[in-house]
Amino acid sequence: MPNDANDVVIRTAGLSKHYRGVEALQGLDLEVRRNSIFGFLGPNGAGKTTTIKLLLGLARPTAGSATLFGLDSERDTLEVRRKIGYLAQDPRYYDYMTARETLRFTARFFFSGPGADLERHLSETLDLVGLADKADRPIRGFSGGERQRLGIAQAQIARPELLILDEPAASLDPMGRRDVLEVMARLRSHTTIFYSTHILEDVQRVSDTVAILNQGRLIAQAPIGELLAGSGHTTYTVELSGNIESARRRVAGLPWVLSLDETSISPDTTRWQVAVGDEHAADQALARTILADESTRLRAFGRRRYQLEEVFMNLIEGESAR
Amino acid sequence: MTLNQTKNRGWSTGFGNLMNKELRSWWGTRRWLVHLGLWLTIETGFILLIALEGRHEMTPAKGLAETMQVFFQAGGFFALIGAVLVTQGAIVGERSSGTAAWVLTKPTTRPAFVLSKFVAITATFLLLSLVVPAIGVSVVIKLIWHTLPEAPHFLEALGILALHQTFYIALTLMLGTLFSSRGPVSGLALGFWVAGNIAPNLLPKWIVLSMPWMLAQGASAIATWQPLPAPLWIPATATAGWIVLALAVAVWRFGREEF
Repeated sequence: MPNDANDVVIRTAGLSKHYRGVEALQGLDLEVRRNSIFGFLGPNGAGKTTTIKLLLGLARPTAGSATLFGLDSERDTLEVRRKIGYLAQDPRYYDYMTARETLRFTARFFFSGPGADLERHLSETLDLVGLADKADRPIRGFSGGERQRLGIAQAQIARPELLILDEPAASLDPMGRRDVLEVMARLRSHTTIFYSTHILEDVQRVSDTVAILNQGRLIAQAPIGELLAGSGHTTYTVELSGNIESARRRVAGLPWVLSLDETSISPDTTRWQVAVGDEHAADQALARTILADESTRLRAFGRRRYQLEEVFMNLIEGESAR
Repeated sequence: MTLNQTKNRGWSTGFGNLMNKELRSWWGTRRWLVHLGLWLTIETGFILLIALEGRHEMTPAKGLAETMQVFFQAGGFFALIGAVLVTQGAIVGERSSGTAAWVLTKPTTRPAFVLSKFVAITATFLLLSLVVPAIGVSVVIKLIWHTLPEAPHFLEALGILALHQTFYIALTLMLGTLFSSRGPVSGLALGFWVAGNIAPNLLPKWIVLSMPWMLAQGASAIATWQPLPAPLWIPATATAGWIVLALAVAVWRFGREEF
């Protein structure tokens, strides 16, 4: 389908990278859709930065290929880089330059044209990232947060179709992180954002699609909603007290209940995790079945919402145990 | 807003911007002033002292010959060391600091990255370490002995010395693409120059002639009307070839670099 092909910004096929016997990346198959905020997750050393370097042409794949906007990352690297803005994990610039000069230097790779228009664009960008008052100071005196904001400014100075951000919020305080996430959300309307991180809370806040990498291998790629829904089964969290024995027997006997895990959360309250195979039936009958006995008191009831951290840990631990 | 997309497609994409950046690192900071002071002190200042010391004993012709000899010998030695020291971190420093990787994520090419450094360093360094001190020396000679070096010979000698310095800039740049720290880069470049002082006694003459080793001595001979140690067109042509080869190796090796 041509529309579908146009909709894919990054596609990798069997992308692999070996460094002197170390398999940094193994057969990565990835697909990033236009205008998505794509969270690329994994523990340190999982291969996230290696993937980004391969996409940017900073390293060559040992096997496989990557296309960006349908262009080959190696053969068409110059054309690819015209469409990309990149922020490194630990951004480094020329310390003798000011923020404005750094942006001017970056912009001149992309734009020619009247200086006045360029200067106006630089000022607007500096304003956008909150560096207008520090625009003409040498960046050697910048804090980590200011460098990161400058990094975002230079990455999006050419209004790229794709922003690749490597751990954009890793070194920031909570305020800085919030600012970065807000800028990302703002940019989403006209660009695709592919970013690596290990801050799961941020991913859950802004991403719509997530890929999880471990030891160089892709272990999950899905829309975030799908990933948070768990492992394909719907799970209900139920907190109850009173006579729970008969309730447990009744619930365990229901044909669509797959499992029931019980933990005591206080001397008189028990929590169940009830996995069901038929969501519709569970919505209609689970609470009623529990409350059929008047001596059972229901304190909390609801579908379980997984936290990304939980999903992430399960996937990583499951993969590592193989 | 009328910002137009840049349209270059070939190896020179981004070259102009990178050149501006390189020149800015000299002329937009105090670096140029430090070098200007350094080279005026070492080359012109040294000659001023000699001239003041010997102004009564030496005839203008003798004074001119003495100062020219000292100027070209100092230029061949100190400025060579300066060229190596200035260039040693050009590639290595940017690679280790991460700025090279950052720049190479922009629409530019690796040949443009390497060659912009070569052009900017060569032009700036030759201006500060050779051209300006040469003007300074001419002024000193004029003030002390009321004469001037004969322009054709002086310019030819300066050109030969410039070729000599350019070779060491290209060599050091190439070594910067082959090694990851400054030690081997400057060590090998200076080692090559030291080898040139020993080699004439050990190597066949044709090898010595095809190297840049005789150029500084030749420049001094031209400026002082001395007989040339050998026809200089051979080492001059060969050195131009070595410069091209060193740059070709640098571009090839940097093109294979992974970040």
